[in-house]
This record gives sequence, C-alpha cells and structure tokens, in this order.
Amino acid sequence: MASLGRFIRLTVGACAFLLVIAASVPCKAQQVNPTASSVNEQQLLQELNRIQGRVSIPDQRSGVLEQPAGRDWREFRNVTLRWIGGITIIGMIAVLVIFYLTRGMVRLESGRSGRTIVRFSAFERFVHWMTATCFIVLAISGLNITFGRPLLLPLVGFEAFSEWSQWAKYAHNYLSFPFTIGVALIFLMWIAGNIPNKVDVDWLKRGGGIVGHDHPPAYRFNAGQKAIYWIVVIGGGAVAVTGYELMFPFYLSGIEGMQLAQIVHSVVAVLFIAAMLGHIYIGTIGMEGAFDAMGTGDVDLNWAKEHHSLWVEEEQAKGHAPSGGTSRPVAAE
Amino acid sequence: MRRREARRDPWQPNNSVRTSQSGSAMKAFVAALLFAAIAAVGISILLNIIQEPSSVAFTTGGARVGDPGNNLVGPNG
Repeated sequence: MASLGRFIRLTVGACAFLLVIAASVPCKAQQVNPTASSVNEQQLLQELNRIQGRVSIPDQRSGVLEQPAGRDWREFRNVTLRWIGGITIIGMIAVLVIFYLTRGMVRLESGRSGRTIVRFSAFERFVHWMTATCFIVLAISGLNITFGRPLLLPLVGFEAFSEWSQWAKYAHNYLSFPFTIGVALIFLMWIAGNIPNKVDVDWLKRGGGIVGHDHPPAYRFNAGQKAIYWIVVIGGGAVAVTGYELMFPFYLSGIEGMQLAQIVHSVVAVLFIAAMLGHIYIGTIGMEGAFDAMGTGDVDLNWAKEHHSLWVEEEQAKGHAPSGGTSRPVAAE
Repeated sequence: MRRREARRDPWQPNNSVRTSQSGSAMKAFVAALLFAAIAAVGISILLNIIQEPSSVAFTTGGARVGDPGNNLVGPNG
C-alpha cells in the first residue's frame, strides 16, 4: 500500500515537471524576439526604397540612413572598378611592351633631311603640355582613390598614406580647372584638322604605318591622332562634367545622380589613361622624330613627308615649307 | 636687332639650331607648368572665399562643433 502511494506521488511529480517544461517553451520563444511581427529594416527598404528620418541640422539630406543603390555603388567602387581599371591599364602596358619588343621603334626610313618644318606653334605646345601635366597628376591622384587603399597603404602605412592622399585630393580637385581649360582650348585649336574624312579610311586600311613599313598619306592629323583628339575632347569633357558634379555635391543632382557620375567618371578615366599611355608611347619611344613635334615644335621635313605627306604638300603650296625631295640626309643622333 | 638677326630660318638644318630649339621647348613647358600651378592656386583661393567650411555651414544654435579642424566636420572634414 505504501509502495502504491509512492508510485502515485512519483507519477504526479513527473507529470507536473513535464507540464512546467512544456509551458516554459513558448515563453522562452517570446523572450527571444518580442517584435517578431513588427516591420523590420529589410521590409522598410523594400517598401520605401530608402530609410530616412528627420534631423535637426540644416542639411536635411543627412537624414537619409540607407538607400539600396548605395550598396550597388559600393560594390562597383570596391570590386568592379578595380577589375576594370586593373585589366585596362595593365593590359595596355602589356600590349605596348609586346608591341615594342616585336615591332620596335618606327624608324625614319629616309633619314633626316636636315631641314625642318614648323609643326606646332609655341601656344599649341603650351596648351598641350599644360593639359598633359595636369592629366598626369589627375591620373595618379585618381588612381590613388581607387587603388591606393589596397596597394599603397600596406606599403607606406596609415600616416604617410593619409598625408599623401590628402595632398593628392587637393591636387586632383584644383588641377582639374587648368585641365578643363586645356581640353576646351584643344577642342577649339585643332577641331578644323580633326574632322574625319576619306583619307582616314585609307590610312586605317593600310595600318597607319605602324603595322609594316607603309606610309599612307595624311593631312596634318592622321586617323590615329584624330582618335586621340576625340578621346581627349569627349573623354576629357565627360570626366570634367562628372568630376564637377562630385566636387560640388547636390548642386547638380541628388545622391543617385552622384553615384552615377562617379561610375561614369571612373570608367571613362581608366579608359582615358589607357589611351594616353598609347599616345605617350607613340610620341616618345614608339616613333623616331615624333617627340620633336611637341618638343621643339619643328619636325624634320622627311619625317613630315613620311607621316603627313598631304599636309606637307599644303604647306609647300602656301610657301610655309621648303619644296623638294629627301635632300641631305643626316645621321640621326 | 641682334636678336632678330639671330632668329633662325625655319628651314635651317636641325643640328645648327638645336640649342635655340631646346630653349623654346623648355619655355613652352615651363610656361605650361606655371600657368597650371597659378590657375590651381587661384581657384583654390577663390573657392575658399566663396564656400563655407562644413563646421560653419551646418552649425545651428542647437548643434555646435567643438574644436573645428580636429574632428570630422571641421574645415578639413
């Protein structure tokens, strides 16, 4: 009888214990997330496309806490742009190195005549070098914005990188103004000679003299130079407009517009840098005698005849250039 | 007058005018650098006059910035 009573007590006790545990489970779940049924951040973003509140400072735009396009833009800036820029610029350098190793310098085949013809005036060279030097500083400081953190910072440390980046940013902002002036002057100075024509088609078909040893006729600017001209004018104009949109935030557009401007600015800029690497190559080690045009302003008559024969004929007709053939060849220095 | 006499004939042989050509090249290049530097400094001064630093533009009676220049919203922020 006593054992039956103990058995009943144990059974009742076990049932009570199980009841307590079973009752405590929903309570515990409720404590973990008491706002499970309320609107969460993700739902707000999906419904409103952004999360914003009110702020007490005059700039009400600072009330925007989240906008989904920012995540896409950040992904582009930190990942996609680095791939585009790296492939474009390193790819161009690789192509130029391979080209130089296989083709070498494009030589002046008829030698120097000893007589020169004025190719660019002092003002034209001034504008060219002003734009070029500004471009180089803008390119280096711009690449620092995209590649500085992953590549330079580990090498030089936080202090030096911070100081350098600050000065690079100042240079980038303020040298953009003479650069823009230079692009505008280049557009006005050389537009007349850079309208594409039928001669350019023939020049391109014959490889422009770069491939092989042909010398297709060209006026003052050949098709390759015209391409560089339009890259500078259109590309320079695009980076200037989008750059000023970023430099003066919210004057021209909202945050989405500035994100788009940054994408256009950076993509055009890396393509621009790659194109200018090609331009620098052909103007220096790629072609004998080419640097003289922007160096002294005068080129050898034989060089002009080989690369710009139609222009030389025009200049001779005007009396601006000596007539005659490839006279008095002199040894190249 | 002497300078005018010394002015080269544009069709002269290259080697006889190498020095004056180099000088001319340097002049255009140096002038370009000077103009770019002056324009950049000039525009920075102009913009600093026209624009207010964020510590001034975004300060209200209820939100003042302490020690501008050494925090995130100072003149260098």
